[in-house]
Amino acid sequence: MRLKLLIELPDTPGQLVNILRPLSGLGANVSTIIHEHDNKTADGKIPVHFTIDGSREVLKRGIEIIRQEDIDIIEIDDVLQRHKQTFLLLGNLSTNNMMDTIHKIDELKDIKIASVDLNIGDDLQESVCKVVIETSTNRTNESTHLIQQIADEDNLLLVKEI
Amino acid sequence: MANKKMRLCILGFGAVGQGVAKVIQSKHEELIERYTLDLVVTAIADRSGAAINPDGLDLDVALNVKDETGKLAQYPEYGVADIDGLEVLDRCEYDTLVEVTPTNIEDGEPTQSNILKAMNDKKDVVTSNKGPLALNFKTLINAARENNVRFRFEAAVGGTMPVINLARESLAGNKIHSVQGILNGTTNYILSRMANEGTEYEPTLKEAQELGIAETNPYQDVEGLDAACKIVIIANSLMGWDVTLDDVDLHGISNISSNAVQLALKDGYLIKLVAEANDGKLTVAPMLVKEGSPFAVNGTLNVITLKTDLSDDVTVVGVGAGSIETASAILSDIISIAKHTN
Repeated sequence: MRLKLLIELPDTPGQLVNILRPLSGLGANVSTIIHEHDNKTADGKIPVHFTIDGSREVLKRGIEIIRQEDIDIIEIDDVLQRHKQTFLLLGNLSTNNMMDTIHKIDELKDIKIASVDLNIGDDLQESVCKVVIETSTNRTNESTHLIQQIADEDNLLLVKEI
Repeated sequence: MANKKMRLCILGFGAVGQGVAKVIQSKHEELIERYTLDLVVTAIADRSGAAINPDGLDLDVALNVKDETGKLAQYPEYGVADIDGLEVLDRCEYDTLVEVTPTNIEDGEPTQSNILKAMNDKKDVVTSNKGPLALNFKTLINAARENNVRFRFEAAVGGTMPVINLARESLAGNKIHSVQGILNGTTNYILSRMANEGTEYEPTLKEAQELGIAETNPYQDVEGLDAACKIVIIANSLMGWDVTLDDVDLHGISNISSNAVQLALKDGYLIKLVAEANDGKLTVAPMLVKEGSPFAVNGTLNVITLKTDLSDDVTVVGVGAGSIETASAILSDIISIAKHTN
């Protein structure tokens, strides 16, 4: 069987080897690797496409190993593994408060902030912040729950997608 | 086939009560033709008193008297002043109570006492009143069961949009595991205008009040209480939960600024007040809805999605409020009771 993967790796030496070594240890054959050095993500990571061959069991184990290394798998066989969610935060949003809140969201495991958009009103009560996050498709409910907790702690109203 | 006569007592003669009278008046012959159902209104009550005639009231006269004097007690010959709902129920002869007094979400009264009295007197009941249903659903359902009477409340949930009867009849056998809906027309009107016209919340609310879409005291609508009552009724009646208004996590729309609406629009989202019963939790809160999705309904429209085990998602859209529209839901309940009565 053959599997096409798109992952994102930090731009530091040795990252790819960290994955390839355990994969070859499993008996998986990596047939193509394409780095997109010119197409870095907003957080400085490099998209890497690669194709691996092996039995169903080997491929399944291979994906587990990549996930254990905390590597973002973006696509498996062209199917998007990341889900975008949009939130609005409303309340008393001074710039400092907002940065604190965004920082807390950014620190959540498996949640990546894709964009932040702030609209400052005439007074702070009318300001609003839009946050778009990316998370694994199977963890959307959990991420919403965690972000809700942060909004509650910071006394902000969270407007989430239905 | 002989006509089936059903005598109605209408408590409450505001917008909804008058709508019911108008609908019964205009559909009287059609109901006889289609269902052999002869509806006769033997009593109508408002704050001033009541009009009671065991042989049936003239609905044109009742509507005119109300229109001209504001007081039903002025109804010629059969008008009675200073009489409350419970006394009316004692004095009039009726088969089905149509309880359409204004909603009281503090203690559900006097509606709750009126409904319980009618049930204990072995009368069927139709209501549009959310108060007692959202506060003491079990008490009412148990009273109906113990007295072996029918109790219908389609109009309390989504105006003319079929929800309760859709789930109970068309989707019978399905288990409903979650519900999401826009259940308040006033807030949907305000949020739609803010998105379409780029206006601020306060002037848009004022405009809605001038058009009669929002009430002079808009608190129950804009703070989400009206939608909360409805989702509580849905969770109790369709999902078998045992919840009241206090169980709803509630956020209104009064702090939604034009800034927020515009920022959402930039990415193709609309802000809507959504009520949700999901995973054991009840929520009413502003949420983001994709433009072009079934929830992107404009104006005073309501929409609800029932997520079921057998039929997947079923979504209906309809007019959530309005005198004739609400009366239509009440009429459908009356017809349904008549069909099931021997």
